[in-house]
Amino acid sequence: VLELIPAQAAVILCLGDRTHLDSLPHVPGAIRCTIAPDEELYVGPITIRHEILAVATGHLGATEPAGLVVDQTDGWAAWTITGPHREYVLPRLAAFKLPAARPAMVQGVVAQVAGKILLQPSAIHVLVRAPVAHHLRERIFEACRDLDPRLGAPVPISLEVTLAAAGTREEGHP
Amino acid sequence: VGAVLWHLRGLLRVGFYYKMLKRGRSWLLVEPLIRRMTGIGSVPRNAAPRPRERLYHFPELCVIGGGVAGLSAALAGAERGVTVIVAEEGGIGEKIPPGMVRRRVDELHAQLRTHENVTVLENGTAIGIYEGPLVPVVGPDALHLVQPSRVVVATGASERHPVFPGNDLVGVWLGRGAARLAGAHKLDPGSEIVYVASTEESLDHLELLRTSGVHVAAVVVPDALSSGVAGGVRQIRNGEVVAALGRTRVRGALIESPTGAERVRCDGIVLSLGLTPRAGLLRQAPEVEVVGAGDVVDPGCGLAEAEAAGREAGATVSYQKKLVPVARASGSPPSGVAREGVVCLCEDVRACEMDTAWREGFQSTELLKRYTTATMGPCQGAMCHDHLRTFVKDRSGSPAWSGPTTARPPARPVLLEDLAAGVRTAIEHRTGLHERHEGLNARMEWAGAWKRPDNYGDVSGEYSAVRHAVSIMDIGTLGKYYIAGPDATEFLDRVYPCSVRGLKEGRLRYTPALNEAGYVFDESLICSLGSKGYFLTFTSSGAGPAEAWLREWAREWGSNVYIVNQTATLGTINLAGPRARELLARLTEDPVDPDSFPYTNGREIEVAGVPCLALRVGFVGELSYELHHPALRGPELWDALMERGTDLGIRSHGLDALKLLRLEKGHIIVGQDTDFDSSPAKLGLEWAIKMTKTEFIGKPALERMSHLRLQRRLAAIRFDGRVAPVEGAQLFREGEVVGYLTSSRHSPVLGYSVALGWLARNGGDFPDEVVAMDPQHGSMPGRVVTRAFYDPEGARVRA
Repeated sequence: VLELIPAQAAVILCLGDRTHLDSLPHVPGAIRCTIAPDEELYVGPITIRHEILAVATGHLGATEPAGLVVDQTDGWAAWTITGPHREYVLPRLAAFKLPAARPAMVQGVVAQVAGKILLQPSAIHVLVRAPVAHHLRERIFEACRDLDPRLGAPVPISLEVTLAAAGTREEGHP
Repeated sequence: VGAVLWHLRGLLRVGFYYKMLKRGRSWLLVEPLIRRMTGIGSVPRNAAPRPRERLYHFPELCVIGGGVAGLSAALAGAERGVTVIVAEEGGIGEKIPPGMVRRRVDELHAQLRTHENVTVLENGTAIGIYEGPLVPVVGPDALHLVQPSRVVVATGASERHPVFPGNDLVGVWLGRGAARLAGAHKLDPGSEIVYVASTEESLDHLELLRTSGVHVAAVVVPDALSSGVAGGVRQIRNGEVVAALGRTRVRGALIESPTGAERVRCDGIVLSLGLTPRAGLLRQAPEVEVVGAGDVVDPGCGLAEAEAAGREAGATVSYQKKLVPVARASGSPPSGVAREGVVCLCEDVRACEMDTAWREGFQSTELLKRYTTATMGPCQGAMCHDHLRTFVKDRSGSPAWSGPTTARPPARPVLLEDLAAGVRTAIEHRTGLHERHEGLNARMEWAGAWKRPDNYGDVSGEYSAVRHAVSIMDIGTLGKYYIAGPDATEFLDRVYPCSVRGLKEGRLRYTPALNEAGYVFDESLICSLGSKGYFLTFTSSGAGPAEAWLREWAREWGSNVYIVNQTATLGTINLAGPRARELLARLTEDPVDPDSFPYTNGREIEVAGVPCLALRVGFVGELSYELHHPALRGPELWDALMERGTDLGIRSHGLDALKLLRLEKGHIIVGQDTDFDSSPAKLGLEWAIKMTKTEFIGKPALERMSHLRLQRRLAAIRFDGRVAPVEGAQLFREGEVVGYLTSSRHSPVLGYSVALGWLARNGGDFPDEVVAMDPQHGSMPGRVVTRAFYDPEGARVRA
């Protein structure tokens, strides 16, 4: 069984000098990913969207006058893939090798669209741009029809082990 | 017809089609006939492609070939604990006749099954080895893209098929095929056969045929092997089959031996003359991390040798140099290519045709291959590549011209649907208002990567709502960006031909985006957000390249600037029409009167509780507000506007109405009305270019062009009458073509048709009158007019 769940995720983009981005504080329940030399992305449950925004804005406001914090929650769609067959999904849709370690984050093309993948011990979260959210859902159902995929009800994204807490933040592919 | 052509075959030499039929109309006449006779048939028009998926694999080791060497390599890798994928064209062992080899293959296969780190792709055809290495394997249900660290090629060898007269007759068999036929399928290759043996393996096959009940009329065998032939079978020592006798099937064999020539009556000739490597994949592979094992590099090697080679290849950690096939074949060496007989069975190339081609000057393997198509059939030279090389070597006497031909993927014929597995040619982008459009029964159309409402079933009503009342349109597809950072102002000022430095907070400016050649490739609205930077839009379909263009210049100049793509994050609704302000005022407490919020200004306001960046623009020629809002709140905003605008006559409008509305204003659509070399001057956009600026992209080119006389320009053209000429119609002046239309519509509000079109100079000046040639309506006279047909003073947009 494979379950695909629309995950409600807060996505906060921080731009600035790397030194200041590296010192961005950890927000409990959220993860922070390096997506470009001058960009850091917070992802967390939608319920703590404003908390993340406040922490990021407060930190960069104090340390990096030229920094910028942009709430991009509306621009991303997150899908959580769970179930015993979850590890079979991405090898059908992504042309890159996933790291064996969990948690981890990688960036790359998934089902022909740009995606950010959060690999966790018991779930895989895939974030794509909102205009192609339906495309990813359709492709997972097409490519994994033999895995009996089912669509779950939307819930706030659950990141049970954060990258920052685990100390294994991984930079994605360029 | 076939029988007639058979007798005329001497005339139908290689290149016959090219020389005789590929001229004039004759090919049109004979092509259908040739297709019918050769069984090529016609392409099915109603066949639906199978939905295929692709699977990506990242094993340590990929083994191509499921024979003894391949399975041994896989086993050695598996025992080392690495992940292994084995690709076998058929089922494992299914093509191997019963015997010692088959037993060993079955044993190895059974051992492999105990290893969880091994995946066997049966019925999976490896079609190439690309840099990476990357091995695409076409399976029955999916295309497997295998990206291993190392590749072992164990594709084995094919039995050599000699060239002699009659070698393509029904009844001529290769040893392995005949043995499999008799051993596995219990079918006889003939009731009475001549068997030609030249290897140890061939003696096993001979014995299998004999014990299966096949009557052997004679065995042609070298002295060295004669002791291995069972007693009671007639032997012809050191002989050679020089011809198969018969018209359409074998009736006998002509055999030459030291004792003379003799005819042996038979209905089957089984040839077991040794092996040539099936090295196509190995030859096309990159130099490193690919190695061959078994027959493919050592044709005719024994079982133990193949197994040892496979194990060594599978256990090796890294291959620094590709091991290429040895330049020999097992069994009797090729003794030249006979003057008669078929060289390439796939492409039906005869030895005499090779001769003709040689005499015509095609005197190397590569030239002969291309001219005769030998080796270019489905087996890709597995059977005939050696013949081709031997032929050239015999004729030229030079190894330089008889080298192997270049092997390229695909190594096997591949279906287009396999190549396209898992690929969707069009990925539909949807705005956050997609469901609203579906709810209104919108007719959705592609617009670049987006699916957008073309209309909601009443284009005329939608148009009227904009011109006479109020309307909304989903324009969330626009490219939307924040440009911020310490260098934002300087960066944009260097990029754009307008003055960004002088743009006050809350003001916005239209500007074309120019490339270095000074040509318009997109257009932008820039709104200053004060200390927060700038908000920028691009056209819906041009946003991607335009963003790349911005980023490239930022990198080139080392600008400390952030370019934040907000296209998906923000939705946009264009609220337009003479009653737009009235509706907006109902939904916001922020001031929207003309003094507080004038034309070409932007304000952050709240509309129906939704925070918006509102921009006063006028693409449709009416009072308009672009409401850029958080995308997830788009439906909420849309609903509020529709609900509170009901009594004002609000309707949503689609692209169809938009195209007319903007055309009445003479506004261009980049891509539809522009060409690859459209400078601002050609488009009438000089007003948007500030040539007094020190620098902007395209300025040097524009300065050079300013000294040249304009040869073409985009003009607004009026056509009287209710019917507009078709878009694309050619424009004439005094019988000369002077241009064509890019946009054309009938304007209900103006009572005539409006158009934009490219015009060239005609006798020194640009024409002021033209005739459009419409395929349906004939000649339609038109008049070149000032750009804006509707509200030329712009009073309505500034209201």
